[in-house]
Amino acid sequence: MDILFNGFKEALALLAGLDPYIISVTALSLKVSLIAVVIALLIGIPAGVLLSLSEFPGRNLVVAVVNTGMSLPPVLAGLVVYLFLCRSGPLGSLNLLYSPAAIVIAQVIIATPVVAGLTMASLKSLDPSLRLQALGLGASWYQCAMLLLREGRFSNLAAVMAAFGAVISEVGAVMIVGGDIKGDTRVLTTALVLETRMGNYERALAMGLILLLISFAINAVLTYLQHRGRKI
Amino acid sequence: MSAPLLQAVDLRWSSKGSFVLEIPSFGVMQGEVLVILGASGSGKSTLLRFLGLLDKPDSGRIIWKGRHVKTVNDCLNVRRKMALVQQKPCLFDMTVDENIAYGPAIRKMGRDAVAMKVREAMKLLHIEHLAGRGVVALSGGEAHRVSLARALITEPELLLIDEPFLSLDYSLKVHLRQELKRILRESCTTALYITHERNDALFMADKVAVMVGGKIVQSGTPAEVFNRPSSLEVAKSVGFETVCEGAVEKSREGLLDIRVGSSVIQAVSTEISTGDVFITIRPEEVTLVRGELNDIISARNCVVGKVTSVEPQAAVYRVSVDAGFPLTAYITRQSQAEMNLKAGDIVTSTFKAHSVHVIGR
Repeated sequence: MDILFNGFKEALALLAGLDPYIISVTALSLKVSLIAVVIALLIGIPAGVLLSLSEFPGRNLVVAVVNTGMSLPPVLAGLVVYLFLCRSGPLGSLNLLYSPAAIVIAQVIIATPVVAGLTMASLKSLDPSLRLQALGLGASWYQCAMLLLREGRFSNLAAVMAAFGAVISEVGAVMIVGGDIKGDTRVLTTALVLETRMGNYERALAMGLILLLISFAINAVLTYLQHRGRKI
Repeated sequence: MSAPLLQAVDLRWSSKGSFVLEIPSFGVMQGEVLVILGASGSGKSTLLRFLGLLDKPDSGRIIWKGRHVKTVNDCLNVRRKMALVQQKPCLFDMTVDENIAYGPAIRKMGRDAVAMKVREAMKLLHIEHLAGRGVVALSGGEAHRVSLARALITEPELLLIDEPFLSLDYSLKVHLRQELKRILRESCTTALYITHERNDALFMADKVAVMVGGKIVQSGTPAEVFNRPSSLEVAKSVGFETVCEGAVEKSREGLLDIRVGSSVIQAVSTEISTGDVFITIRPEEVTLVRGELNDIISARNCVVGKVTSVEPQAAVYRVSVDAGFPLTAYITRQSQAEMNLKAGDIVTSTFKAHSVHVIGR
């Protein structure tokens, strides 16, 4: 119990003192996670819209792939990215392994099915007559999709939260493709694992607290957005 | 004769079950209010979806002003000349103004022009007081007015209306129906109106098409369809509640003697003079007298029977009688108060030969 209490005390002191090492790890964590979430949204939202509003051959197969992707073991995603980016892999010439870019790629692979799947579920849960109504007032397919995304915006924000939660807390895949190189690819989760192994529980707890604060802050903002602006 | 504004040719669609929609030819003429009347599940709303280019049938063509609508662009262009009002108001999660402005906004109309049109549409439907409000707390009547305003603001060449006031209480429904008719008349808007209610069809229609089991089985003016149904299904759809099998025994100058069960019914028909037939009678054409009637009356038909049930309805009582064949009559509340009919009572049912509609079997 003492370890925990003292750990929290020292963690707060480290945070209050703006420890440069912790700041740099936090900044990199935020940077790669936010980039990955933005890319996942750019791919996942249109994919989710397409899967929920269109009929095309092989659609059921794609839906099954997306659903499987939602429960994809992140460490497997990391391994696949590693095999693609390693020197003997098909993309080895790009020299991306053990770089923040490799972490972003792995995180995008983890987050995109989450965004696509939740967007699809959100649009599917809307009243089907909304789609007919938009088309029946002269909307194009794109305008109809935009309206439905707007109608399902509260559920869609949940997709953003889930995607961000998945990538900011990811450790296995990030460790494999990033290599946990200090000052280069070390992020909060990998640093937390390392500090724990080294017995630096204060630093580990400080990083855990930061992860918690980031998740809380992002979710608080998105929850605020969810509840804002609905006129009665 | 001019070409229809919208026409469906050889339309066919089947669901995964057994339902099949088959429309060889169907058209809406410019300026008319065409009502599709049919029971739930007859395929009215499905047909509306195809005519409104909101869904694709398995096969068939939709023709707009004589031109086959083929490409995605054609579809969008024609859809923008129509507007849909659904059974539920189906308002978007925006303010009332934004809902009404949706059609003009997606047509890239200028902001000032949209605002002006929204004001006009709100005035037309008497909902100016809802400006700036959200849609969540609107009453059923208000929501339907907003839905109508949202469709009418686009000045559609064809308004598609799918059982619009189904969920409203009777008086509000009658009121909104009157307003809709007034607006359609004043704006000379062509409309396709889907309903399962005969009163809606009679009130709104310039022309009625009756739909049964995925097919248009009869179309014509309301007088034609309601007075001379061409088949048993149509007769049932337009309110002939008494439907029986019979056989013509005698025919002279258009007056038929038809054996129905143990009774002989007299009917007038210029088209049928022999063979097996169906006879159909509207309940409001039947008059009931308590007991056995011995006086001579002007009605050609006078049958004695036993009351099997008396059901109160909105404005009348529906009385079922076993007269050797099942017969249904409507009597007013005042008549029921005086006669106090109940199951088991003996009554005499009278109706004119002209009230019996004969359909060949």
